[in-house]
Amino acid sequence: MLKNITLGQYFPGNSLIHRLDPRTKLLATIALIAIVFVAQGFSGFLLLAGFVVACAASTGIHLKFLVRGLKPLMFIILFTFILNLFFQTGGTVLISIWIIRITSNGLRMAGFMAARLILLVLSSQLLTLTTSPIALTDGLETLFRPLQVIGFPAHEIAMMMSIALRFIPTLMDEADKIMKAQKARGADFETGGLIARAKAMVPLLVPLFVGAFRRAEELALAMDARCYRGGKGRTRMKQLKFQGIDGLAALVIAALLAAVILLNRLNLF
Amino acid sequence: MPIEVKGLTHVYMPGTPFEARALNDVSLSIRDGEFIGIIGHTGSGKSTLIVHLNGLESSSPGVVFVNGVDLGLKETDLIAIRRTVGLVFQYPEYQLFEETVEKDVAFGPRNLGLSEDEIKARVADALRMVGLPQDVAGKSPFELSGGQKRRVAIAGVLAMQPSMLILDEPAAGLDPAGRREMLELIKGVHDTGVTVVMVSHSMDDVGRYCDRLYVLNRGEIAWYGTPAEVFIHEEQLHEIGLDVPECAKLARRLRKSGFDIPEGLYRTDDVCEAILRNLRKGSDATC
Amino acid sequence: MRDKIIQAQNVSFQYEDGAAPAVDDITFTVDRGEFLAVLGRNGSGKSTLAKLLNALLLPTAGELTVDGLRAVTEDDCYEVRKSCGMVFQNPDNQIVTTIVEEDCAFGLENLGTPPEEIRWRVKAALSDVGMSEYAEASPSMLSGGQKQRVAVAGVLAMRPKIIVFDESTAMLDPIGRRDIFAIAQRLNKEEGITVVWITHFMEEAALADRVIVMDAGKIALEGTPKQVFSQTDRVLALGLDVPGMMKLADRLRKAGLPLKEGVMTVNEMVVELCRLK
Repeated sequence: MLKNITLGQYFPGNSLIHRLDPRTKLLATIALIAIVFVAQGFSGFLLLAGFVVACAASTGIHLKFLVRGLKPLMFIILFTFILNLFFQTGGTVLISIWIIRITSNGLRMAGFMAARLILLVLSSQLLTLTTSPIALTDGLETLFRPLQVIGFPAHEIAMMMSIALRFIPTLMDEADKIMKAQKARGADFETGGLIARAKAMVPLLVPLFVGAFRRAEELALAMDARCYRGGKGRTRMKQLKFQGIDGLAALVIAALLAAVILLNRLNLF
Repeated sequence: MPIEVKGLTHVYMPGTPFEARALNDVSLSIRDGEFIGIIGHTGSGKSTLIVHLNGLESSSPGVVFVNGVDLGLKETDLIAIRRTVGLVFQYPEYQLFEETVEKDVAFGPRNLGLSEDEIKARVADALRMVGLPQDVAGKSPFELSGGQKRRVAIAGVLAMQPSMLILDEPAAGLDPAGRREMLELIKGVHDTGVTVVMVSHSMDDVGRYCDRLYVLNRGEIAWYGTPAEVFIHEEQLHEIGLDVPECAKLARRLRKSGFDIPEGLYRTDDVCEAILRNLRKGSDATC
Repeated sequence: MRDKIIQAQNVSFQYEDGAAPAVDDITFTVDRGEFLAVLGRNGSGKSTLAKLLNALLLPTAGELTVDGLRAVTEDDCYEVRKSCGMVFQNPDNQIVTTIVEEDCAFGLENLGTPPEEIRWRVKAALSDVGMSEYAEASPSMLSGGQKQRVAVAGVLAMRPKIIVFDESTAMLDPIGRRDIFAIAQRLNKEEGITVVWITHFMEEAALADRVIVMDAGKIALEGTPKQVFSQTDRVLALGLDVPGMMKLADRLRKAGLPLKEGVMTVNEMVVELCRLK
């Protein structure tokens, strides 16, 4: 049953990081990404990597899930590495075969860029692994709320996101059912060329869209029936509240920034 | 033996926190021309069971044979199996997709690679079997009423000319008259010699139409046999949330109150006659 | 005379497509605290009637007063929806959020209720429908009956005086159906909530205080379940059915047994037949 698959990659838990306010986590992740760009040497990267791994370990989430997020980006990381390796010049020549020359500068730059990319991915992984999609939506809505004065539809966007999250499992389940029903009528979704396969999707997609519209219409009615009229005058049962640990998180991030700047100054390696 | 299931076990998402045993050592056999009822509530495994009967799912341990062919074997032609075993899902009207009723009903036959003439003839036949007038053929299925849409969807399966037809709650959501018509339609299909397996929540419906019943509970077959044999377990059925027909209940209560009523009566006609025989001794009792 | 919580006077509703009116000049009242069942074949106007009661639609002719309110402006509509809640047919398409308790809070949030109050009202509503232990669950993991209980809790939290159930048991299995019907009955008896119960299941209608049968937008039959279902032929002609025991009683009577009127349940039938023995 497709509907049982967890959305995104959220791992429920009750660690310190899980309990942080989603806004704190969003801001901290942005800060962490900025710090990755501030770091100018491998010493800084080492510190940041240590920090991310320590955070992950404290949540009780197995490291392999953190690393798994790298897989889809492996190609880009590798590409960046090779590009830098071959096209950066300067420093001492390490290997020289035919027109290919690998220099010490190239190797350093390649490693530097790859490490930076890996750290960026791991930092955002940490956010999505420890924050449920719905908490993320709430966090984003609250963070963007001040922009409502200039007409930014923060509430509407958040509502759309949360309804989408609510209906993805339902629609996946429906897609599974329709696919089986058409297969029972001899439909073939697996063989044939690209065009044949695209054509074979019609019996799946048409009922799926028709169904989605029907659901949307019924949901709109049900929302109306429960007095929904947009974000104006609306309250929330769950209020996001900054707590002690959120302050602590801010301090930790600030300390991390200071440490990275210090390491840049020391210029160790 | 058209359908034979032996020791079928199906586990959903094994090795995850969502692991669940949907079917546990299920065995059943369906003979040619039977009208079989499968009863059980949501989560009893009935929906999982029926998708195994035409090879949409396969599981081990367990084997499913259709006309002697093992569906679990790699070399088995599943398309041929699906043309033999027609499957109508719950709310099948939500699977319509073509611009016209005719094209939608033709989808199955076309997948079988039949000639245009043959397809046309089969579409006309199927529409007639579900009691739809030929003039709906050119209409969009989306402008029909709910009950008509469902007939179109069933016609789409009948057009494959299966020798066995499996239906998952064909009467769900219909009004009482629509329900009666739908069940009569299925009976009509059965009368042409098609073996029918009907999944239902309604003991009244399966009691009225089926030769034999299988009651599923938590992925296992709890009881099976003729309706009369199954309805004897009134109390146990009630415990798992199923009710026997009211007339079966009445017959049992009257027997306990000293009426001379044979065991296993559940049809209104039979119970009615039995009551009359008791209350008007001597005179002929007809209902 | 009891106080009338719903009063419909010559109410009609016509959709814009110009077809025959879905609800055609109907007049009826509902008592405060009544359990009213509405029957009728598909397309007879039951659902349109439900949407009129909830001010999701406004009558195109006639006067409809719900809990003393006549919806004219948009603000009136919200007032009507506050006192008249609605539970729809498809449990999947009326749950808005990904967490059970947040869905129950949805209506109250829309009304601008203070967070603290929302919290305890949601808690009470969930416990009222027996779903407290699922407060933090995801609706997609629940059965149809459980989802429908959540939908009832979401309406209940808004403290309506009337709840309209629009075929809310049609998509459920026997256990889910029994659960939701029992909850509606309890809310009606214990909390005095007026219930308008639209259904295709005759056994449910048989347990209502009163039954209205609709046909082609009009009220075809009205009365207590006994009065309505004893007109077996008429009920069948309207595309409906008669509860099993009433059908049997009708046939026994036609065969000449002097069965008394209004036998509806197995118990009543046993008592009556033993009397005749």
